[in-house]
Amino acid sequence: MMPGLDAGDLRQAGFEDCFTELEDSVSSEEDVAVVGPPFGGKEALLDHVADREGAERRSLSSLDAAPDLPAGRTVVIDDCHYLFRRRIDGFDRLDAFLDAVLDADVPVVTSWNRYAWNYLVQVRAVDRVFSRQVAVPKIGRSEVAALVDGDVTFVDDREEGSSSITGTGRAMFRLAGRTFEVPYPVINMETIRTWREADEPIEEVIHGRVATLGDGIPGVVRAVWEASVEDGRIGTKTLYEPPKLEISDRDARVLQSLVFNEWVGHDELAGVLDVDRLDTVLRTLEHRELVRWDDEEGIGPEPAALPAIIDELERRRLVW
Amino acid sequence: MVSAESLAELSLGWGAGMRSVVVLLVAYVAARFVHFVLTKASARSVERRITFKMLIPVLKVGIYGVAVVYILGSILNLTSTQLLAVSGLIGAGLGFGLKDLFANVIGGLVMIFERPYRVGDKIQVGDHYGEVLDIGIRSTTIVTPDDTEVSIPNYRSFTESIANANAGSPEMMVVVPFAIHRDADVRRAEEIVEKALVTSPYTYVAEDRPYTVLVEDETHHVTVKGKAYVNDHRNEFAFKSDVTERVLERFEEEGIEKPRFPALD
Repeated sequence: MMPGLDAGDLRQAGFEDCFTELEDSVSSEEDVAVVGPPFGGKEALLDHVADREGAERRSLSSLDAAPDLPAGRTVVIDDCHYLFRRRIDGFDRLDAFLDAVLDADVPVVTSWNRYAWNYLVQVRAVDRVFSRQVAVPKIGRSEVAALVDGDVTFVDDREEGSSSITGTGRAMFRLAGRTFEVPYPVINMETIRTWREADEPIEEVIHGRVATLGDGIPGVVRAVWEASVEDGRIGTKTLYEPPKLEISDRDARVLQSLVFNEWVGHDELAGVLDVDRLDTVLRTLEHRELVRWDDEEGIGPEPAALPAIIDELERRRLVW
Repeated sequence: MVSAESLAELSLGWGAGMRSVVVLLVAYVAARFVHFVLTKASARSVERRITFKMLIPVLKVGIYGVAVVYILGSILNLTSTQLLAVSGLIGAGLGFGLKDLFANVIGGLVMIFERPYRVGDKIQVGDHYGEVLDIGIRSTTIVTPDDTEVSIPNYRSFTESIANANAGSPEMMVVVPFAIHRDADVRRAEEIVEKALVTSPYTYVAEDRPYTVLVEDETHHVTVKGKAYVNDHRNEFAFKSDVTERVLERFEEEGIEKPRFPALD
């Protein structure tokens, strides 16, 4: 797994309002669902609540039974999306847990993967059990500096002078059995961006682009930053390039499961996914830097590639 | 009345003829190019696919319409009298046997503007069920689940009912029925079918796209019918297969029996 974020990181990244909302909810003794994307900082938020309240802290794995909820003090439970499996008998643990939350006389603070949560809202009405839902916010360029390792040299490698705003693309067009190359005009977005950023310091430009590449998700932003630093230097030309996802339906189903689960053991994944040659698919996705596979820790989506993966799965309507 | 003199004045020299052919060729290439560009654009997004594809016949009609108007007005330079004369000839032709072609063309225009279905929709017309590939001037082309292209004359939109499964949306409702023995545990069967529907990777669930399970009592058996929306209508059969396979497997594990039909004497 990649190194996690802590509460200090998130406070510096502008999560103060989120912390306040969470603290107020717990003080009001409400049951809380903290909902966010993979690598969004949910764990750090729950750590903060557990430390502040002196609460019992549990992190679920995919193999855990529904946790007991002891009486008397606030309970904090991370990764509740592991309580269900997308199969016919896959909701028993989740249903038992939701019943227990309704019966509990103490606040229960939980965290959920956003995409699993959106799915469970529709099929299990989980939002009716938790009176307060706290969404993990995104960060902008001004917060990136606080989150990443600043001990690097910024290289201003932006191109001088004006480039053309229009360019030419080429497409292959078939007519009467023959193939023709047809030029078509394209707008050069890179030139527009360079013009817009021309008067900005290079540090702000790079922070802004890293925030965009990471889609504002703290853990992903940090992964994109680390992938963009070369020999202690970072510039617009060294920035991480997201992969172009040309994937099969089988690849998409595997990625869908990993986005829902964030980090899961191989046997558990094989038990849920009815996919031929799963190991081959996983190795191929790992080779394309879309997936991380650690024999001890398990399998999960590659953090820096997560925005590209989500875009593709949303385009295919496999997540929403 | 058709004026013979006005028709005689209509001079269709080789030059006008060649220019008309060139204009029609340019219109053809432009229509093909538009089809190509919009098809490429539609492939980039499930949600916008149908929007892009339904523009194709509209733009094609527009391109050919402009070509015809240009030919009649600027190349052939028809006067109003000549236009009336040509219209009379066309009318006579319709009366003598082009009426079906004309009905198809009118049907095509009605289809484009009234939109009982769009390119990308899944429709049933008579015995034919499939995805609309193209709405042409004369006929609509659909591709069936067996990958057969069927051309349906557009005039049939006036004479037959057309069932549209998705009406412009990428998702559509799919019904998956199961027959079980009358003595089987119906509630458990319902639960299994419901969970199989919502756990399929192809399911799309939202406030306005709910799922449900219905139970129907038949003469010799009970039908448990699952209804849910699939995320892309192209996944209709993959979804059906996935749900059916998992439900039947679970029915067998839990002893939910299939119906036994009485022997016919």
